[in-house]
Amino acid sequence: MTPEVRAVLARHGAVLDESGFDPRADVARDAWRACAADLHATGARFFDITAIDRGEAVELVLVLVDTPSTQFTLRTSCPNESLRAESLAGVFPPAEWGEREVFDLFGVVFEGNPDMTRILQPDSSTIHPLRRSFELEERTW
Amino acid sequence: MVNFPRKGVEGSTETMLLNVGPQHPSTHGVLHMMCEISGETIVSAKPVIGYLHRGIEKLAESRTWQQDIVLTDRLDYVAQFSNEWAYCRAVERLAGIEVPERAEWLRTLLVEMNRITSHLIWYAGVTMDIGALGTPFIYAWVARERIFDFYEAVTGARVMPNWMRLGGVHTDIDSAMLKEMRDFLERDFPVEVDEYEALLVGNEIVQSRMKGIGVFSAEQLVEWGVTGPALRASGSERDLRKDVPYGVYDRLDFRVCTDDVGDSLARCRVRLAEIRESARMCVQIIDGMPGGDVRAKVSRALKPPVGDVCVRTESPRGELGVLVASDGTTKPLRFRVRSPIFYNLSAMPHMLPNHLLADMLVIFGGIDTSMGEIDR
Amino acid sequence: MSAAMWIHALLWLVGLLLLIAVVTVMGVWWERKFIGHLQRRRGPLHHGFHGLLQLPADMVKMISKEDIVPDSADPWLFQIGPLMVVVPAIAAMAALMFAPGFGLLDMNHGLFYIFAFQTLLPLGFAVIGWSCASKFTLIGALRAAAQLISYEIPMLLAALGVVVAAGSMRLTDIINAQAGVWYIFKEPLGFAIFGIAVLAEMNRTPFDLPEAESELVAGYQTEYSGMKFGFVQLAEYSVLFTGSYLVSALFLGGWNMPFLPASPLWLLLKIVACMTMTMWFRGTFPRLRVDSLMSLSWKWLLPIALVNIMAVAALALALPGIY
Repeated sequence: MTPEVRAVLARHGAVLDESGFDPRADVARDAWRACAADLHATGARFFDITAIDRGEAVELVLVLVDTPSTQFTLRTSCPNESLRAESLAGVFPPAEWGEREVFDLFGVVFEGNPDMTRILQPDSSTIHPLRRSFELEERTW
Repeated sequence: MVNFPRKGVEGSTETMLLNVGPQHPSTHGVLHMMCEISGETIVSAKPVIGYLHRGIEKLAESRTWQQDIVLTDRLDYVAQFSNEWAYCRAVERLAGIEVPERAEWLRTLLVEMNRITSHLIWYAGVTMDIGALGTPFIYAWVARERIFDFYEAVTGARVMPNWMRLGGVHTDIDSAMLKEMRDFLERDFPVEVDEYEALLVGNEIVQSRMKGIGVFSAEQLVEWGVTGPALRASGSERDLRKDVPYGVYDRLDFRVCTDDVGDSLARCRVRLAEIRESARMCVQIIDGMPGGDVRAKVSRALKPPVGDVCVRTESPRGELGVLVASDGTTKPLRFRVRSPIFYNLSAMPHMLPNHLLADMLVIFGGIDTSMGEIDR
Repeated sequence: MSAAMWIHALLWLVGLLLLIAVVTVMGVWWERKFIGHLQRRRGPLHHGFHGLLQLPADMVKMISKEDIVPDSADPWLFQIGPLMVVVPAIAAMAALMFAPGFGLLDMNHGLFYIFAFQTLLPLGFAVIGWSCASKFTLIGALRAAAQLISYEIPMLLAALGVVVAAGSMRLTDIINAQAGVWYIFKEPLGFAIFGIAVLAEMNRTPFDLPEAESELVAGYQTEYSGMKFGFVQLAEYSVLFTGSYLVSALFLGGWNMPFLPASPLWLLLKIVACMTMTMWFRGTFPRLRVDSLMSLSWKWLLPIALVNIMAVAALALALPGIY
């Protein structure tokens, strides 16, 4: 983790945890986009945006690559009552598709994404299948 | 009478919406491109995906950690070993499983052979797309079939091997087979590749079709999230095999194949160079293969500790990431595949405008799509 | 017209139709076989001797297929389209001469007649492409029309060089004038231009843009099925045959052969050789892009063809005995 990245994370009040495999930084949802934009300015490269269902909340995970050989994750939490976050599409262009996928599979709405439609499922679908609450039907074969 | 749905734009000409796919000879699967064209020039393009969505990430959550390996084969069905390895590495890292030395060598060997076959499929596809009636296509199949015979001999399957296991690999490769592979890759294979290269890069018409088409700078491509050979053709040295060495890549002597032109022809040259480089690496691996066990003892009811990990690997198409999260049970909490082509394809709306319809296929060929991994 | 003339014409008509059928069937078989061997495989093998019966079987299949008319297609134009392609293609063959005095119509202006009918083809393609109400066919038809019209001009100019040299538009005269030296040796430039332009006229690789499979599915013929598709294919192989005939007759000496007596056999051999060349190209070359296709015709072939015809005319005036 480069000093610039640490400085940005500290500025946005991120809780840094380096005990796991890769450093992870938890930010408040309000600081999500601003923090990502500042990280982009430090030269961090977009790798992936996805989500993990934690039951009562959906955790957004932004995987960034700061130096060619190291990575870290920026996370924020969206409680089930308000599944929305600011879009990063203006910061990282590939995040547009990543966010569409998170919307499609988890139901998190990204405000400011230019095309907030389903990407993998058909538009007529009403489910968000990767939520824990969505149970797979028993196999019938 | 005939009525085309038209969308008016400023100026005197009208544009036309052309739906290329989802059933079209050259979309390599079921990709759907909505192209707004003016004459034959693309004004804007929007890829529509999801026709091959099988819900692999959801299915993985209802199977045990070991059972999920079989699903990874189905992601990118032309780079099966790469997917298996990415998943196994992620879980092994999460659960702290030590992989025996020989198994790492075997994995690297098969993954590099897989890179060859994957690039051969790209070669076959791209030559078809620019209108060569299958001659280079079938030529590429010759070498691919030989390597697939090796897959079959080693794993028992040609296309869906399901060969890697958590903590190693399923079957060992005996020395006679290794020698046969080495003979092929060192003696016959380079001759074949010379021919492929002459057929593609040496052809005047191919050069006129590809030179200067789709020129992008490395900065642009990084901004758009493009990785892999498509990025390296623009001069970037980014290759995870060098940047974050895994497997036995740190013990092999290889170079990162790059090109500084950044057009479609450069992407072809980079991939052809990677085929040669991979063959050279395979020979090195076979020469340096240590003895020993190929599989560590791993409990069937594996329960990795609570946590998550994201592992990045270099698949033939770019940076393949696997994020697995565990809640301490025998089934994953989350299995996420960061598909390189998913993000490469998301750059298409930036890449295609102001190119001709025929150039679309050339640029497509440059990023080498495989729908199985995009739609998952 | 006397009864004998009618019978003569009728016999020739049947003969020509049979010829077209045989050319199509054998052409397809030979193409699949030849390209198969180019590609390290063997082509059709199982039905008949080396797959010879594969093509009759394919024809039966094609005839028995359902004739699908797309909902939004223009019903009349959709039906007429294939005829507008196949009729000129076959009509052009009426003027072909296979030996001195052996042909349906030994016209004074036989060459002119053939080109006149071939000029009608873009119209048929445009009708086909428009009537289907599919964007792929429309783009394919526009490409076909643009390509055929722009390559017609260098082709005609190159053929004009031969007409100037032979002093006649009658095919028999042109071929007989080559009893000594073939025009390929007298006008190599004209032969090159004519060969390239004819290749484009026949929609063959590397000029097969109107039916570019990887871009336009199947170009103007995308929506056709059954026998209508068969008609379009028939027209294509007729044009291929006519084009190969023209190259053989105008530049390769027709039925003449050095040191050997003139015979229709030589002509047929040359036609087959020309057709095989186009198949060889098909198995080897990728296709050009639209803009380079157009610039090749207008920026290169046309000026060179103009220079060629002026040079030929000047030589014909300067050396009347030789040229």
